[in-house]
Formats: sequence, structure tokens, C-alpha cells
Amino acid sequence: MARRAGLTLAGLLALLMMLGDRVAPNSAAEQFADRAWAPPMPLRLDGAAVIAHPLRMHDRLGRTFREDTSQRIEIDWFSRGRLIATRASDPEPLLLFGADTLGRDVLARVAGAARWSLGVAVTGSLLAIALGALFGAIAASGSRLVDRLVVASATALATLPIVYIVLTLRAALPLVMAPRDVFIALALLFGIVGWPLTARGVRGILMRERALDYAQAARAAGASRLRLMTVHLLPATSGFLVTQFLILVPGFLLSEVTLSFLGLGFPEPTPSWGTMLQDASNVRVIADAPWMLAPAAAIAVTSLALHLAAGRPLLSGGAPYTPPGSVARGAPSPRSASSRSSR
Amino acid sequence: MGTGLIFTKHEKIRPVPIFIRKLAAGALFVALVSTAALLLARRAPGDYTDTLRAARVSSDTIERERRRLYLDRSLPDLSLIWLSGLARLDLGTSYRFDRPVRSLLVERAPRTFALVGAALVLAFAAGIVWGTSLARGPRLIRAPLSALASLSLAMPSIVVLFALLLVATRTGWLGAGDQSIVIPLLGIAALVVPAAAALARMHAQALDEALVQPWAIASAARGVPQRQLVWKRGMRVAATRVASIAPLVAANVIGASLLVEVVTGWAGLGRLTLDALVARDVFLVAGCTATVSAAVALLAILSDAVVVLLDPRIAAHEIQPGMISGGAR
Repeated sequence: MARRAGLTLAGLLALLMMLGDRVAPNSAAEQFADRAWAPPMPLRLDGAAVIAHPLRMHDRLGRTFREDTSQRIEIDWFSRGRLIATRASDPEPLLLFGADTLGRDVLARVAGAARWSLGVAVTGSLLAIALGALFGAIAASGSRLVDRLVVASATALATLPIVYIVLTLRAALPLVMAPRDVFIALALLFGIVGWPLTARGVRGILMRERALDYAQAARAAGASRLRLMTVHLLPATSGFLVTQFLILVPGFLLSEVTLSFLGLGFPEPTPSWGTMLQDASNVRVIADAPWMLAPAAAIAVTSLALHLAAGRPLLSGGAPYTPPGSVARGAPSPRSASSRSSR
Repeated sequence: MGTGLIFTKHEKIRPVPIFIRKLAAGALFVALVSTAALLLARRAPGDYTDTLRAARVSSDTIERERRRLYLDRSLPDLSLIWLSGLARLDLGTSYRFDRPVRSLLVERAPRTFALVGAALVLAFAAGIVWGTSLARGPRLIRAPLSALASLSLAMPSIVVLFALLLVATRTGWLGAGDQSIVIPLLGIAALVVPAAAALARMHAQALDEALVQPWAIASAARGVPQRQLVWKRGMRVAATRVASIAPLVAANVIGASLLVEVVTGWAGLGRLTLDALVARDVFLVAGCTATVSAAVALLAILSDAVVVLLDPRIAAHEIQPGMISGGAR
């Protein structure tokens, strides 16, 4: 059940990644004058309509706002190309998650950042598992050099903290880059850092599968090495690759957050969960404007969804893999046997 | 893997030379990783003297500065200078701080090791108690503990840290104590949560598997109390598994400590590495990388040693060569 919940949540996140700030009533870049540090606006039910009251600045120095109950902002669903929108005639902005230092909509920025933060993690992970499958197949099919390379780099990478490796590699590039270049650079870096762990797992599975009857039968029937690998053996790694993907994404998401937080990721005004958290990393801000922690919540939800979707939470790659339908080795299952021994 | 019940006939165990070999492999690993970082930092666009040029320092002075800082050397030359220095533990001079790299590291590294070390010790203690309760605790608390473990395992330290800071500001704890003490303590707690959950899961699984082995059933049949079976005999077997994944957990904690240090303002290795990378401070980058890689290499060797000590059936030579002893044992 947990796994299904995780997959559903992951699907919603994928949707969010595609929609970006279109789920919010405002664009991520728009700044609203006099709305800096505005708190979230509560939604209210007025008959059948969902409404909110606009906020008016009450005290500029104390940054306090009051609801103006004499006016109402009506919510319009699925209009003007947005999931939640306000009437075009409404001059007041709807800030469901409040506003940041520059008076930008935090909900729009968190959603818009999904495109960048989550997007780069997903792209990097896809690249890593594609490269990993390729090199794993090459390693398993006999090239000793690649084999050694895979095992050695996977071993070294598993030992070193990934964040440090990504940080060192990223710092070797120009420090200031356009958002698009950062996206490409980070995705490539994630691919480079992520492939050895995947390749080691793929190599292990292929080596075991190769000895099984069906592979021998295919070989006896005259399948070429390429056909044997692509048609018969590689499909056996699909379960492992999916799991590996689900494990890599939160790891790389965290790497992106770290880099952006440290100023080596996406530059302002591109929204990213890391740069947004940077704005919140101050005790005063946390105390006075806790809605600025929305990106932390987004990271938490994403990480939890992917961990649940991956099934058994794992620490890192190279974990034992059980092919579907195989029977676990060893005698009775721990649970049943333990209840017997405790009697 | 030779860990069956029947003792396999294997070579005479000679742990000392094997651990010397492991130390040598670790030294090679440190040399390779730090040299790679050195070359990457040197190849990065821009170098330290750019700031001098911007300050309109005369080209003669810049040339002299480049020579003093080895910036005029080719990459192979630079690697040799670094490696020969590393062998003598002379790590060169930091451009940015204008101080020997070694003295900077001696000042900053212990702070990171204190943070990470405290987090790891607490994570192990909490993980073992948590894991034991997960596997053999009262039935009523197992499900909530297991859900909590899944949740904690998925929470990155930085998220935990922000959550703790939020709670601390809301409840006023932060105002109650000295912030320079409370905030680093929250940092340690943030590092502990995911690590303890990972160790708890691993310990619970290992304990579950250990306690259905014939020796455990036989002990129970002989009347060994369940408590002793779980906390003493099973613990020893499960600890072997936990020790073998310890380096992975430690690497995760060290990685997470980078951001935790920056947020809590703890002047450790993470902040220093970042400053060095951004300033293109080539030798300082290499020095920081060497320290981190030496720490993880030593932890890996330590974990191998603990595994051999805990389980005499595993001979030192059976442990996979390389840095990691693998979590799959």
C-alpha cells in the first residue's frame, strides 16, 4: 500500500514538474509591490464559491498584514491557462503560500522550481541509468577493461560522499552560468556520477542471468551476442533499473539543492528549491515567515514519495536484487519462524 | 561466502599484513582523489591571480605571484609537487587565506569530525535500540516504529534541520539557550535522524535473519532467555552487518554535513571546501579533498577490522579488496 501511495505521489510530482508555475494563480517571476513577506491567504467558502480576502499592509515596518473582508477574490479553476486562477478583472493577487522578500508568489515559485530542481534530477538519473545499463552490458559481455573500470569507479563512488564529488566537479565549470547551461551541466554531472553504481548492479544481474537455461537456449538457437543481450538479457534488469532510478532521483535532487543553496546551481531569478531555501536560512525568517520553508516541504514530499515508490528503502546501489518470481533462498520466512521460536 | 555454519578450511589468518595492504590501498585512494580534485580546480576557468589583475597589480608582481604559487607549472608538474608534498604532509599554501593548508585543515577538520562523529555515535546508539525494537519489540510499537523509520530514512538532513529550527523558534527553545550551542546541537540531531533510521532498518533485518538460524533456535530450546538472545548473542551477529554498511552511512552523513555546516554557521571542512573551490584555491581544494577521502578510507578500514573482530569466521582476506566491504554480506 505504501508503495502505491508513493507511486501516486510520484505521478503527481511528475505532473507538477510538467506544469510548473501553471498550477499557481501567478507566474513565478512576477513581483507584487507592497506584498513582500505577505503571509499565506486563507481560502474561505462563500456558498458554493471558494474565495479569499485580499491582504492590506497594516504596518510597513512590522511587516504585518490584515485581511480586507470588504473585498473578495473569487477563484476560477482551469482558466487563463492556470490550474487555480483569479478573475482577469481582479486586480488583487492571490498568494496561497504567501510571498517572499521580493513580493513573489511562493506557491508559484515552489511549483516553478519543480521544473528546474526536479527536472534536472530526473534527467540526470535517466542519463545515469541509460549509461549504467550500457556500460553494465559492455562490462558483462567481456571487456575486461570496462569491467575493471565499472567495479573500481563504483567502489570509489560508493565510499565518497556524492555531494562532495558533484560540488568539486561543478566548481570546475564557470561559476556563473545561464539557467539552461546549468541544467545541461548538472544533468551531465549527475549522469557521470550515477552510472557506475547502476552499471555494477546491471553487470551482476547480466552475469547471473547469462548462466540460466533460457539464455543458453537462446544462444543454442543461434542468437547473436547483441541479440542475446538486448532481447533476452537486458529486460531482466528492468526492475533493478526502475528501483535504481527511484533511488537516484532524491539523491540528485539533494545535490541540486545543495549546489543552488551554495550559489553554484540555478541563478536568480530562476526558481529552484535550493535558492529558495537559501532565502529561508535565517532564524529570523523562520520565526517570522515560516511559509518560506515551503521548498523544504516540497523536498520532503518528493523524497518520501520516491522512497516509498522504490519499495524497500535502500542506502545506495549494488543492493541484492531478487528477480520477479524467484523464491527467496533459505528456509522459512523470518516472521513465521520467529513466532515459532519465541514460543 | 564462507560464512556457513561449518567452519570452512581457509588459509592461516594473517590480519596484520592484510590491514597494511588495506592502508596502502587507502593511501593510493587519497592520492588519486585529491590529485583529481587538484587538477579539476586548476583546469577550472579563472585562477587566483585574476583578482590581482582586477586590482591593477603590475604584471611583474603577478608573474612573481604566479611563480610563487606554482600557477606557472604544467598539470603533470603540479600533480608531482602536490603528491611529493602529500607524502611529507606538506600540503602547500592557501592563496585565499595566505596560510599553510595544513594549519587551516588542523583548525577546521576537527570541527567537522566532531559534528559528524557525534552524529554517528548517536546514530549508532539510537539505530541499534530502534532496530532491536523494530525486530523484537512489543508488537504494539512495531508498526509505528517502522513507519517512523520509513519516514526518517526518506528525510534529508537539511529538511530535518529546517523542521527542527521551525519547532525551536515556535516553542521558544531557541531563545532559552545560547544560540551558538543550540543551533549546532540541532545540526547534529538533523544528521542523526536519517542515519539512525538507516542503521535501525539494517539492524532489524540482520537481527531477524540471525534469530532464525539453527544456533538461535537451539539456544532458545536450551532455555537461554529471549532477552539475552536478542540483546547479546543476536546483537553480535547483527552488529557484523551493521558494521559493514557503516562506511556508507558515514559517507552520507559527511555529505549531508556540508549543508548543515553552512546553515548552522559551523566553520568546518564543508565551508572551507566551498570557499576553496570558489576562490580557485588549488592546494586548499586538494587538501580538503584529501582530508575527506582519508576520513572515509579510514572508516572503511575500521569497519573491515570490526567485521573481522566480531565474526571470526570471516577472515581478513575474504573481505573484498578495495575501499568498501559491501553491504551484501
